[in-house]
Amino acid sequence: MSILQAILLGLPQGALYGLMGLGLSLIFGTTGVMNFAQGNSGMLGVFFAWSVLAWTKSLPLAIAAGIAAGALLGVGTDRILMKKVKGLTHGGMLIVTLGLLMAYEGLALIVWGTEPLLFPDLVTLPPLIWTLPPSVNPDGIPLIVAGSDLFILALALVISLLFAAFFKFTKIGLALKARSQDEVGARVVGISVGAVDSLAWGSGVAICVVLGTLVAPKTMVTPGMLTTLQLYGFTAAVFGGFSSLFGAVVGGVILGVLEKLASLGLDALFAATHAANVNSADFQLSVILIVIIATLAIRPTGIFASRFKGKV
Amino acid sequence: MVLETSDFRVSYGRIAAVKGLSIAVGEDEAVAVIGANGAGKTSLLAGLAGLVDASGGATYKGASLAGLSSAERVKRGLVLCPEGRRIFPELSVEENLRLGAFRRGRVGPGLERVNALFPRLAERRRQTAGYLSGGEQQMLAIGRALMSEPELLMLDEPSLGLAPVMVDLVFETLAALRAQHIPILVVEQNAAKALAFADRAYILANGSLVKEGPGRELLADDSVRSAYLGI
Repeated sequence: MSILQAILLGLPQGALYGLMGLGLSLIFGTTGVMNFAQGNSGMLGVFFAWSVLAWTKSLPLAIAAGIAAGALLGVGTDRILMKKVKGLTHGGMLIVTLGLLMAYEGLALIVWGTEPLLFPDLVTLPPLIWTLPPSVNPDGIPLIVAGSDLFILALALVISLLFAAFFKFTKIGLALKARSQDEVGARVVGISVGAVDSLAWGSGVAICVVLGTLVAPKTMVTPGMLTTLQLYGFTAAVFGGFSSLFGAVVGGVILGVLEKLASLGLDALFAATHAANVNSADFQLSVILIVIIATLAIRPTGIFASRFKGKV
Repeated sequence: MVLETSDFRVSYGRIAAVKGLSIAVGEDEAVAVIGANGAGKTSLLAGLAGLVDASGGATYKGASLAGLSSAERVKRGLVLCPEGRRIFPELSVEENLRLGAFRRGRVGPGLERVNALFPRLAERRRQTAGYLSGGEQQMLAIGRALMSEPELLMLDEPSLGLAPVMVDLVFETLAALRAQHIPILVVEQNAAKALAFADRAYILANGSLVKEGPGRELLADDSVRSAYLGI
């Protein structure tokens, strides 16, 4: 596999990490709560979408219902649970959202059972195939991007741009930024902090449902379908600096590419050392963990850290 | 009276910070509240702005404040410029000011007033607010409060932590606002400046009122001088 092909595989993978990181840092940046139940909240939304699909046979309707259910779950979590435990330490928040993570997993098991459920592809696009001239691509193997990967990339781009525009051009977006920078300041100018927090929670979980429906055709719908991805999203957000949404997305993409390149390098290394029975894919998670540790050790505020505060 | 409280109380759990205060601010009046650290000055303003729960009576422009959210109070013109400035450090000066008009929906009138008062902010409107000097940040905090078009402007320690020349500038600004007939309720540790500025003043200790009177009179009062002015 060429380096270019590794990058092409890494980009859509990284876009998924970035979307997960986007949802996480949207909630954390705004409300100061690290939502460890993020992946499982999204998972519940996907299960709900699956049920609506089974019932109505309409995929667009099912996905819309799943996203709406996710948004509702996010708002509910904020209104019912987070308002009550406001002012808790980071440690306390961790326990609360970890508890939610387990409760949601249990809930999914009770309602939908243990059998992995099939979820259809949102769209079926033909793959892109490039045959590059030998001067660029010496091994002559054409570069391939799967249709589903193209769709993921496009969607991630659209979502990121929508959020960027929302924060840049709308009054509510500005209010969200203000609230994330100074809660008292936000309240004295008349921003309703409760409404802003609910908005962050609702949209943060909704993004995770979108993400879940993207990966569901590959992973199938299971209670643990987004657990690993959450860890990756977490890394993306840490890497990018938690309070910067843009940083989370870029961090995710860098991470995805890095992971594929590292795997390529390890393949070469194992081949050279005749350790052919070692599979480089087994080391992908290690790469992620090394990135998280290195980031925290070298630049704990992330590569696109905000200048005036360090919430993490 | 634009603001009147009776038996106004603010508590944090079991600790009472404001223990039944009755104060008033007139339609065209600047009132100062002074007192030592922990006297309940900040809690009084936070309670009036709806940032913390309060009990007892508080009437603003003839209507009770009970049950109104902080956002609703800002909308009605009861505006607080909080202690520690609380500006939005990563936003530009202009964005900070625009947010001040969040509940007003119009930026024009406030912006004109702020630009006239603080030409320095107008010059730096594109600058990131966190990079402003302490004095400039205080100007911005006052400017942001003015963007809400206050009908009663409450300021919490506006001169705290500022260089003497900036302290003078803050009180000159307050005097200019006073001349524009904006009612002012200012909480200050700088008792000398506050009493010299205010039409009337209240002195708090341990959450209760210990003295009140015209600012100049209190400034001349021997017990006040020894307790709060260190003279």
